[in-house]
Amino acid sequence: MSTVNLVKGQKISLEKPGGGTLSNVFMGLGWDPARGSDDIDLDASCICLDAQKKVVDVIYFGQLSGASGSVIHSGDNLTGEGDGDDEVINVDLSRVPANIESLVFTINSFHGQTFNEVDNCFARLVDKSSKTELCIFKLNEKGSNNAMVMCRIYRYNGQWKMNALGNPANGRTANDLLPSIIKMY
Amino acid sequence: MGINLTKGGNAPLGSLQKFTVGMGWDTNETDSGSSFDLDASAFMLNASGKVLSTNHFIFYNNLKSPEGCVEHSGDNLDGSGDGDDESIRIDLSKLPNGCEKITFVVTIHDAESRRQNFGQVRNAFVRVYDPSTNEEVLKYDLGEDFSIETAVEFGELYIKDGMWKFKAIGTGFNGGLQKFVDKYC
Repeated sequence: MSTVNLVKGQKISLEKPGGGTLSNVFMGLGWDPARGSDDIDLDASCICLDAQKKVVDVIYFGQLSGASGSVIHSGDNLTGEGDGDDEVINVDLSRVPANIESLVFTINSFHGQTFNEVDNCFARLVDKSSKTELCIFKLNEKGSNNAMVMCRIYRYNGQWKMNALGNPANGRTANDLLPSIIKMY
Repeated sequence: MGINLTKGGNAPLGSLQKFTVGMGWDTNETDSGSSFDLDASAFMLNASGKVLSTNHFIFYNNLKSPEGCVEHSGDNLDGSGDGDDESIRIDLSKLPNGCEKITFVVTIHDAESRRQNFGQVRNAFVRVYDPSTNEEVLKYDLGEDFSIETAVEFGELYIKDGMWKFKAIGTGFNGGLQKFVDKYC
């Protein structure tokens, strides 16, 4: 299975070819400071929402594990697995509690830097067992927003799907983004 | 309360001659980027599935069929507001000879340059109601499983054994309105 380059809005099934089910995956999120910009300190987070778009859990630098332990943030400054990822959020899809319908992945600037100062922002989903990149969404827009809602993994008819969002938002922490996120899907 | 159709399902229109086909949608809100302009169109087809004439392709630049059988309410440029975003009035008593099917499509205007697709559209529906009583005859909620499609066939009116019926289609395509023009003209 070769990687799928997602465009904004695109949705793909996360079923394996032949019908197998993914369980252990990670979302790798990466970015670079734009040319001429200072170092940029961004934070990746995962917001877990139920079918009514109510927050069940938020996994971010201040709470690295959530959703009954099925979502684990690796923290800052990773090395090893996942070249180019700045932060990695591990998800065991088979263990995500049944009331969680959507996992929304966001990138925020705690210090309020804007996405005009960011280049090469991406979110990629990797199957940990086969170390295969399933899909990658490369953002090709900038803006004066200080947060970006990158993508969403969600349940659809009993299987998981991935939806590339790339929607700008504003907020220094993931919690600040909630009012915008519920209007995005 | 009318009939709720699911994809592929159909319902008879009974003795109804004058009715309105209303279509609606919401687009995913973002804090920047281009606005969405979705357009509803209707093609009046003969038994071979081709438009009777170019004047029987009803869209924002040709709002009324020559016989007055199909009339478009006009272009809603931003999809805002509850209820129908665009509607098309049908008067079967003015049906031209040879018309056996009227198909209803919704396309995203300028989708390619605005980088938009139906993955960013939700709550899409098509419904048939009697405008004299506002009574809804049937409704089809398209669901949210579209991805990079830029054109979706919402449903069609067709005649079978002398009876007009409405069929829920919900099939997406790439290529915008041109896709349907190529198919039906």
